[in-house]
Amino acid sequence: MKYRNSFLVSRLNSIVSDYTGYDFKKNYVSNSQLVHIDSFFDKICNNNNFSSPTGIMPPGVLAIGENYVIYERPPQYQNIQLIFDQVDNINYESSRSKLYRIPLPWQLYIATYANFDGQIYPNSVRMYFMNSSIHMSDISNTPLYLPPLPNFFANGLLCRPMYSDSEDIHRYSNDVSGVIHATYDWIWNSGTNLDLTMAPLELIRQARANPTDKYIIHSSFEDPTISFHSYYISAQSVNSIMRAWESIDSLVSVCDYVWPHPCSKDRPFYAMQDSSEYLDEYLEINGLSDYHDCDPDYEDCNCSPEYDKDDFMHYVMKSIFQPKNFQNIMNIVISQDLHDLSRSSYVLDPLSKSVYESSISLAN
Amino acid sequence: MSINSSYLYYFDNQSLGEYNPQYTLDRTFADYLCYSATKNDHPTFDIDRDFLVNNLYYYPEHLKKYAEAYENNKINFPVFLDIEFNLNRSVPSSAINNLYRRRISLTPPQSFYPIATRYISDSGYFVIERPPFQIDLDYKLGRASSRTKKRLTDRKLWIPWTIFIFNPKYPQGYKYFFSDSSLLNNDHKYISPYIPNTYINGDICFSNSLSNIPQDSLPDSSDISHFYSTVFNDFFSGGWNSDLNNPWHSLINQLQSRILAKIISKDHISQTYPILHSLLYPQEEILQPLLSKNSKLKEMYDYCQKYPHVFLACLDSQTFHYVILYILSTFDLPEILQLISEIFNLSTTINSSVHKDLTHKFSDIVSSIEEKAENTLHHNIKLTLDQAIEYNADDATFFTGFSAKLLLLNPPCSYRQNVRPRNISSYWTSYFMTQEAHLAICHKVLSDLSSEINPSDRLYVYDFHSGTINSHLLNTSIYNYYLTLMNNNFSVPTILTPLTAADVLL
Repeated sequence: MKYRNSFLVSRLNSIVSDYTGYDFKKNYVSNSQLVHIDSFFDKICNNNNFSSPTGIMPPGVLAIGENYVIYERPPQYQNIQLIFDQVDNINYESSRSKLYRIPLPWQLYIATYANFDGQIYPNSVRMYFMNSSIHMSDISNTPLYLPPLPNFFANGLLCRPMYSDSEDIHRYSNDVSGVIHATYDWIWNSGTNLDLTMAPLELIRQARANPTDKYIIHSSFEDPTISFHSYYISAQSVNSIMRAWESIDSLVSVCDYVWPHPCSKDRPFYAMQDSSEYLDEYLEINGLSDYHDCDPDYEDCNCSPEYDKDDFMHYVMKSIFQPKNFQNIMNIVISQDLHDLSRSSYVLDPLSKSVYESSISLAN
Repeated sequence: MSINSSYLYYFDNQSLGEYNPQYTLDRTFADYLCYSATKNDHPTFDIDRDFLVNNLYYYPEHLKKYAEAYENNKINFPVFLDIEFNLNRSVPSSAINNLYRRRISLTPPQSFYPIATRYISDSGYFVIERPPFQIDLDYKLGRASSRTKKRLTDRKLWIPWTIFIFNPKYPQGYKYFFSDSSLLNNDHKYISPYIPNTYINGDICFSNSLSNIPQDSLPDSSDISHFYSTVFNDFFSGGWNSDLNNPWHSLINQLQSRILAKIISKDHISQTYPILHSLLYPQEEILQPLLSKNSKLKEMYDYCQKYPHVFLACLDSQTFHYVILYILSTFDLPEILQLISEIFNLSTTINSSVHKDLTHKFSDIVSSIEEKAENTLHHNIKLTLDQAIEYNADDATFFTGFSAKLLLLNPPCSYRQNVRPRNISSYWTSYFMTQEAHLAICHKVLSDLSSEINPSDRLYVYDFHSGTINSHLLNTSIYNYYLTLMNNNFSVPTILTPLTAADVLL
């Protein structure tokens, strides 16, 4: 053979193997070359170049980003079959349930998804209410509201339904369109129970804190079980809210209502825990910097000036439930939902954590 | 091309078969041959072997003699090729995936998509739907360059459901189609529009109208919504002309011929497709405003009534636009939607390629834009790769691309029956090149490269007769070189003998 020069043979082979379309097996690139590829990659890759087709999407898709899709829906009526039990107690033969037909204002949905080995898995969905289409609005000034529905956390995140089998995942198309349909079904076609009631609770709290007739309930709404430290309300209160909601006479008027502001935290609000973060700030603003915790049983101290616990909790609520616009919410989604799609700790509330830890210790 | 594909990029989307690197017929040489062979003002690259062999009459004298010798003696004349080496390294997909993930910057969207974005392809084509709306007609009865003042205005026309397709990254091509309802599934039917300046495949011919928009008012293509509304509104604001035939022209003509041939009866059209019937056979009172102003048109209308003919089918393309737009402007929205529905259903009456060209399934539209994207993407990447090569100049081992000139002497004459070249370039290259020649050429070129000789400055001469290859400094143009070569060495083709490089090199 005339062409035994190893350099040339390898060059020729590399040319041939390059064009055959297989991964380059013989000459892996060095780190410095990867830097070049990175720069090159930035040049040729933007938006959808390296994702898959979306499939046929419903109207109202606002944006598709890395692992998220945002869509809105116009005002509409929805039926909600509410089972007045928590999931563990539900007996489909005997649990009480009721069907509500409620008018919805404009809704904004933010769904995240993960892509594992080419299979797309919806990861989370948030829903917010709006007075008008965000498409036609000033993004920075359009407030997004918390839907006061059961099964939503106080930040607008839906408590994800449980899958009964893999068909729940695979019956949707494996693309963004499938994510939209799946997450929409999660909210509206997966059943509603009383596992989480913090969103309706926020309606009551914020209506009380901001007396106005623009909420669907009055500030005088009575539920003696509710305190600042509650995160659960009774079935009667949920029923009252839903009935008040049903009484709104049209889709036009439902868009004029005010809904609660969503919480900033990417988990439920717990007054006992979260309020402590605001105490120093509150004390300083109110000239109570000298206040400090003490235990009268062990310390001989003068705890005055005391602070008004209720006033403090109002302050905490106002701080946490600030009005939020789209950018605020997206920053939360990006920092919480998208940075680690596999994270699931936010669904473990302190109580369940403590129960879990107790069960571990008991088991040991 | 997808992130999941095992290959990041490549220079050419054609299958290169067994011959790598890539050979192409030298452009000057190809022009020379084709100009000579066709005697036309423009070269064509669709000349096949039979044409070259059987049309010696068109050859210039020196080539003609040589080509005759080829036929008689089965010896080929020298061929110039370009040989292109693309030493592009690939990387494992996993590395690219990692880089991609690392690169992602999670930022909120700065703008929203248009309201009814129904589909986005992986290459970034947006399919945007719009419900029916009404426009003001503005059609000029003449070509874009015409100074005629005849226009069809003061009429309103319903536009049915549309999908508008564009890629903000490649803002050169826009498509749109009509339908009788909102997009439902992949089998949803669309029809090429009845609006002027539209090709039958739905492409819009903007000519230079889009470039007339002041530079400072051009939208940022990253703001998809603004970009879409600007382009869409620009087109539907009118200013159409007769540069292109109406996409519906062929169908109307075919319907006329089927009716005249009694393949379809006028009664059948009337009963089954009533709105289409009123388009084909408009009442005189409907057209009165047009007929009263134009005696020739009235004459034509009367003729069509008498025989009877489809009025639209008797019109030239310019007048066709004028009349069909006018008739359609008399239809209300339900009639427009029903007309489109009827044309979809025409497939049960006529099974023709014209009808198939006019109607499209959504999945076919998507396939066509993906195919277009595939080609555009490669083209685009190739351009970007050039920039990337420049950018990565310090790292020559990563991107290296160069080409060299190749002269084939005494190429073999054995015709390969299984080779079906697509154009003259692939004809010559696939016909002549052999694996042995290929390896010898690659060896020589890469030897020069490793000896720091720039192959782009050389002429490589491979002689099929002796199986040898030499390289020489190329210091004259290929065109002059070849002319001289032919005139000096092949003026007497009857005494052809096997050639050596020394015979042909200056």
